[in-house]
Amino acid sequence: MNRIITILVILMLIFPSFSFAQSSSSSSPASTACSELYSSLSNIYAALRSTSTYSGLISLSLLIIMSVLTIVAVLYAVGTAFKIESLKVFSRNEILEDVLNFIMIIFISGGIFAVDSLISGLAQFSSSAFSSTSTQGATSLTTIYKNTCIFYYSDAISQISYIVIMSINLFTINLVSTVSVMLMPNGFGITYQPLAWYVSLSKMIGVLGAVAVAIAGIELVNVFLLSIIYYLFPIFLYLGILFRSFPWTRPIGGTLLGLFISFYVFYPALLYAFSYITQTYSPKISYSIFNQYINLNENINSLESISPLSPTSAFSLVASSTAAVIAVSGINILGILISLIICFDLIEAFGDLLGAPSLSDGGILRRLI
Amino acid sequence: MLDILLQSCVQSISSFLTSPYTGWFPIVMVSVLLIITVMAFVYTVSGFIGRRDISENIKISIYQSLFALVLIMIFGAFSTWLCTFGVSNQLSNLNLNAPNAPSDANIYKDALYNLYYFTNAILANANNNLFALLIALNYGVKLSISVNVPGIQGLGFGVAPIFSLAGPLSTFSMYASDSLGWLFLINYIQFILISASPIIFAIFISIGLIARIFGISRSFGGSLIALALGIGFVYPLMVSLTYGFINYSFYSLQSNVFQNIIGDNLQSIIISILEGSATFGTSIILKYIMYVVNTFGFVLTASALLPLLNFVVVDTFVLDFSGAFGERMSFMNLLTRIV
Repeated sequence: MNRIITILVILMLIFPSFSFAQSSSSSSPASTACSELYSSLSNIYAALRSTSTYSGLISLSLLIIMSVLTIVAVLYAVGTAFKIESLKVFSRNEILEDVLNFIMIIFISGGIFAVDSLISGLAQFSSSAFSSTSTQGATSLTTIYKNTCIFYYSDAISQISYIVIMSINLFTINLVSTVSVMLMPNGFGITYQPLAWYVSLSKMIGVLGAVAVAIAGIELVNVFLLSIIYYLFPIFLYLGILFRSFPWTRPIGGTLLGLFISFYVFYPALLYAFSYITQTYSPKISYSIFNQYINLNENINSLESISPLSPTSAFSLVASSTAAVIAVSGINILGILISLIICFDLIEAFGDLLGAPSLSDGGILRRLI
Repeated sequence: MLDILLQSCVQSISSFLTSPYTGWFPIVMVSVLLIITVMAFVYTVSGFIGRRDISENIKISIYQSLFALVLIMIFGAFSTWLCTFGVSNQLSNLNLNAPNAPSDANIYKDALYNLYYFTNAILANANNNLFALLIALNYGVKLSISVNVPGIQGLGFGVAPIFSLAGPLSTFSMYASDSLGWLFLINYIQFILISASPIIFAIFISIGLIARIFGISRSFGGSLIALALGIGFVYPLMVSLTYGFINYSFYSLQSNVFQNIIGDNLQSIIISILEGSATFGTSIILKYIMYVVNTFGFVLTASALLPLLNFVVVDTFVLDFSGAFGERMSFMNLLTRIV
């Protein structure tokens, strides 16, 4: 009885990880959801990426740059005439900043498509190290975002289905645990519950379920974060350039540009590469853990022939099967964390380079995290 | 109700933001002239006693006083522009505003509306759905069945199961419920900040500009100006932009992404596992679970990450701007201590 229930539990637990491991095909629900996610807001996409939307901002930036250049040139002349070294140094730095702004405006004057090509190139380069076929999916910006979304969404669904199945298992376990044999002649006697230890098993599944909940939550947040970055962050590029044009608002401009470069350019490219590592190796990892589970099961069966160790076998098998389900997802979470750490460092580096030194000096991001 | 509240708020803001510049301008002018007169006297004296170092410092002080006067005029013009600039229209044209946002609203009104809309429409909707899911999961009856073995007096079998779907899903719901409580709290803190931002802008900039005139309080004045600009301009701008996008996109994503897509597949898997024992009720619950999970994922992302993004931008601005104008000041240090 114990063995049948245990095997049923294990099969139920192990099933979703395999069914969802292959779920990143074009017709999968994750694929449909991600396609909708990256197409349903087409009006925002068109508005925030069109060069005509920002023509006013670009003109204003150019006007400010020209005005600042004129003032700085006058200041440089005054500094040279009156031999004020600090004024000359300040003017030289300002001229260099304005030239950099001017180059950036020329770079994006044709639209954000130059940046899109950069992201595709980065994603192809980073993923080519793991699989020659993986670069085929990195042909355009939308494909990179969508493929990464499909990968993490399908994994999040597998975790959620695992949680749902565990709930159903818990129902079965709780039902079985209450079975009792009563010996009560004349209304007084004993009640024996042979499977009462299943209550402990249900608590164990509850604890392991919390891990699955955390993984599903992080992966879902990552999916929606990517979509927010995809739609909203192009505006930061143009606002960043505008704010950078003026010396006093250069820090906020540098911060916005640092955020844009790190999260719009590098974050999806890194996640895309990580998703390909796990996509390539996750079936092998799942298979390996599943094999270990089979071996463990055989060992426990042989032990049970000598001594009844059913509770031990049930606990071990639940633990090993849960490991099989959450191991691959754990690697995915590591991918997200590593990408975030790299991007936070990049924000600091780019912020420092683009006029927002406090991003690295003040350790704002570290303090917030 | 909100509209009336916002309208009265903005009307008071308009006069409040600009009045210090007109009301205090004569005082500032007199102060600057007085300072320049004193400095000119000291400059002359330092020339007589042959102290070139004092002369250099006096020159810088006179330039700073004149610069302070220019700054007052610039910020006076900026405050007037800030009250009249219809940021709401601009954002609506880019589809970055909540549905039915007040047209031609200034930056404060728009930020307050978007934050109000997100908290009371989207976040509250997620909370209500989660609450309903919690009830559905924990709803059930406990049955106690005992069967006697026929022919043997006092010997039998019994089972007392609880018929509810509580378990790891309840764990998820409880975590989600706790998180939502914190997210509401974060939004209320933002409400306080946004409501206070025009007052902070008006008072801190006015005091900061006057403090910048005098040598001993120059760095303090610069820091106040930076803090006022960060909270009074950059923060509402970022809130309008980010929450406006979330508010606009939520309903589109809700109908296209959150509903109807995942539930069918999950249901078919559960059905295959349970060998066809899934019922109409199960499919409805599964679809509802997926809807709540998706909605919660989106709301959690928006509520947890957008304040982070906005605060990082404001803090960097305040740090660097205060460094350029006066003494370096960290907005996040202040906020975290208050929280």
